[in-house]
Amino acid sequence: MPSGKRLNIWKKADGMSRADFSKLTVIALTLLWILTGCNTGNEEKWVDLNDVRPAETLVRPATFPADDLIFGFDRRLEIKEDVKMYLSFLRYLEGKTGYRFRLHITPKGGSIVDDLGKGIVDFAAIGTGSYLEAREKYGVQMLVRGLNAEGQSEYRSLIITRTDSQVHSLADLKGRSMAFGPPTSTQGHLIPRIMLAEVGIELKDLKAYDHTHSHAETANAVMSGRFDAGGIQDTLGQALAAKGLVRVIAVSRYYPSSGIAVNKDVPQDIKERVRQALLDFDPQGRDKPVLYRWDQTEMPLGFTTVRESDYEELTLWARRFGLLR
Amino acid sequence: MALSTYVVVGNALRGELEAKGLAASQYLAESLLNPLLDEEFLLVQRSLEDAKASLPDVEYAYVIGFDGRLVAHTFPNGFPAALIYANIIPMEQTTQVQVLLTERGIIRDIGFRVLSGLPAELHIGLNEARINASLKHTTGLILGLTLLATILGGTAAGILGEHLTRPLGDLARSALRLGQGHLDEKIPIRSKDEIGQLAADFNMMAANLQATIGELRQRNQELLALNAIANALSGPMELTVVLERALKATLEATGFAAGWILLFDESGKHHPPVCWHGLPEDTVLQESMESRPCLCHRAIQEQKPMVIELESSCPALGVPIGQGKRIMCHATVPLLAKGHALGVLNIAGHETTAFTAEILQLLGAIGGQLSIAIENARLWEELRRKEELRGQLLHKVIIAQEEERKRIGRELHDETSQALAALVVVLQAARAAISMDLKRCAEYIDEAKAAVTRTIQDLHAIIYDLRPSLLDDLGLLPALRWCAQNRLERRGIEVIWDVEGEEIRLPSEVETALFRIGQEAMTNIAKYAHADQVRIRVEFKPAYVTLQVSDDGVGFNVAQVMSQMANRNVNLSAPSDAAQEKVGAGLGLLGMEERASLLGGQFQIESTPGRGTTVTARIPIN
Repeated sequence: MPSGKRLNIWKKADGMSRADFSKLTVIALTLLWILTGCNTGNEEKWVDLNDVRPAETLVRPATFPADDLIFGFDRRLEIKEDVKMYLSFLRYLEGKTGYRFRLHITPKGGSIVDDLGKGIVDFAAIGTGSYLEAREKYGVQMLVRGLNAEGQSEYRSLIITRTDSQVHSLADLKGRSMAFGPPTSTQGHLIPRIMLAEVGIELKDLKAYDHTHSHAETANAVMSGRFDAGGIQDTLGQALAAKGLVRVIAVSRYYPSSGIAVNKDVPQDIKERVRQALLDFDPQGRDKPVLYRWDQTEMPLGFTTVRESDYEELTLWARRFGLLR
Repeated sequence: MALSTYVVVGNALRGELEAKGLAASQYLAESLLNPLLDEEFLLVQRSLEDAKASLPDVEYAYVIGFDGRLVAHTFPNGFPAALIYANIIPMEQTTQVQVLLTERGIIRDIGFRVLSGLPAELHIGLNEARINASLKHTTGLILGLTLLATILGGTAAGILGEHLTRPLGDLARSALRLGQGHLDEKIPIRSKDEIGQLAADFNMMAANLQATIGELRQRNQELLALNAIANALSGPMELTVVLERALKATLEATGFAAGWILLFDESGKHHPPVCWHGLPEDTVLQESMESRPCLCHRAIQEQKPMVIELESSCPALGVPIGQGKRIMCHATVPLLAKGHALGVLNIAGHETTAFTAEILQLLGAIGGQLSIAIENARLWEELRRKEELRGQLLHKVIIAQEEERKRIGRELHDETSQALAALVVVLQAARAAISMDLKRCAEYIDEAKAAVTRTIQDLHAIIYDLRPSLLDDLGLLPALRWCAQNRLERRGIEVIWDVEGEEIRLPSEVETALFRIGQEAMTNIAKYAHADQVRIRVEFKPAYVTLQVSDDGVGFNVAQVMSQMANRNVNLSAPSDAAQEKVGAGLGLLGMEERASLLGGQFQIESTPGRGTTVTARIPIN
């Protein structure tokens, strides 16, 4: 190199110009940025884990709007299954009506009848027995009635025994033990009581009786031999009988099935819009994709209209049995 | 590299931790759902504690119920107040991860909505401490390995680089030398690889550059020479001087010592060299060059420069040209104009190899310039000569006008004036006799009348000589007949007419020109030819008209007369009678030729001493 000249690495040394070096640097940094995940992630927060308080004093503010419509339900299956079903059903109602709905879970030992009657919930999917009680106590109205798998808005109850039982008719039940569903259950309690009463058997004529939490529990109680007979919904009883697990000794008449009831204070326009949405509900067709196992419910084919007179007979029986306090 | 590895591995481990936390949260949330919905919070609490105990890295777990209250948590003494707000999952999301900086290290809070659509949340805090410890260990290991690899790689790269770049450095220095102009230096080729190929290419490029530069220099030399020649040829100098300067410039440009230029006349005959340079002042040599046929003609026939190896008969052979050398050969450059040889340029040499192809090419270009200069000089000379003749013609016209005035004056004085004077005497006599003798008086008056009539006839003759009205009134043939009658037949010369074609009136300028040509020819015959018979032929054609006047007189040498006129050998200021006659005849011939050429016609004169003369003029019509 001639004396008096300084080596300029930016210009000609090794043939790399300043622009080339800059490009190389940018490429290297970009590769590093890509290789390292392009991002540093969420913004970090400082939390003092030693600054503790009593847990009961710490409450998150509510994140739901106060004007949400509250929907309750009669427990029928495993609670999380019920919740998943009705949450998906509420997404349908929200899309159809434009209202926001929130699911209310009545605690174990709580009463959906009271929740609905006192306005804790605005709408509820309830059985006929619960409805009779709620109407009697709080003036609750039935909006629509459910359609079962056969497309009927009525259902029946069965009286079942073990297949090796000596009980062959309702009359044989005198002096025997019997399992019923929950006291508010129509198919598990009210209708079997009607069936017994129509042959002259009252509770006092039984050797023993008890209320289970569900039709399944009632069936288990009979099949295990803990009770001589049990009153359960027709669909489950027929399925068990077809498999040879139980024997059906009596079949009831048809009575109005479960439906969607509404608190009397809900504004009429909201009632009407929700009623129309329920009548438009198509769980086997158009609306099926948004639903979660809706066929497990007592209204797998949707809903139909309802009349108050449909419930007169059942109301009389319920009063007679002291179910309407 | 270590930094990248640290970041990449760290991110991967954290991602893995997050994924594991989300999977655990999902599983735990599903198992917590039923007890949570049934408000069996003790079950929830136990499930959280079991999860914290069984899952590594779990720092804490807690559940927020549907009403926003804490349902269960794994902290032993109360719950951290800020934690409940640290990671709030938006309603539209089911999970959210939040990085927390705590006194226990960095914790990733995995928030999981227990069931989509419900406000209950499960949170699991995963501590990164184990990851960071593992990461530090791994990073240290990678750094150590990287450092070792760098040292080893750098050493190897340095050795390899030195091995690879040395030939490149040598090549670069050689290329720099080439760039500085040392084209004769060859780059040594030490290998057969790409560098060797590059060196060979550089050498080839240098050779090509050298050749190109040589060509450019040669071209530049040629241009300089041509420029010098052009300068030498410029200027209003005589041809000989111009050629001398051009010859010197040529010798300087080509580096030769001697040369000469020969010019040919129109018949192709040699003349002594018009100029020479570097030759001894030996007129014998020059005359020999003129008289002896030379191989130079080969170059003229080939019409291109050639190198002539001299034969023993060539007078230039052995002529000394300085520095102890003698002429053994010479390059001959033909000087051509329109395929016609004007002369040759000869450049003397000692040996034929001195005349390279480039030298011959340059000499050819110089020859072209010299030819143009010679041709131009000759054309200028011709023009000058014609201008001079035109001046002489004008002088003749003026003289002829004066002669005509003199003749008219003389005729008026000798004849008309005398006749009028005699008329006055007769009239005085008639006046004197009128009172005495009327008969005598009448005779005087008749005599006076006859005198007046003759005078009028004489005046008519004078006027017709100036311009016969016949020419304007009747046309060319009557005017020529009148002229022949007055100029020839009066002198006893027989005139034979030969008219071809239908006589028509011609344009005035054509009739005038042919009349004057015929009048001049007849005047010359009357004055000089001593002819007995003259034949006048007039040919009328649609495109032209021809006048031919032939006599059987003494004739003359046309070339001699014309040459004398051209070379101005006739002294017009003091002419002898004979010379005056030659001048008059010569100028008359030139005047006739001039009249014909002015109208785009042709003029020809044929004469042989003792065999008469024929003058022919042909003038186009329109």
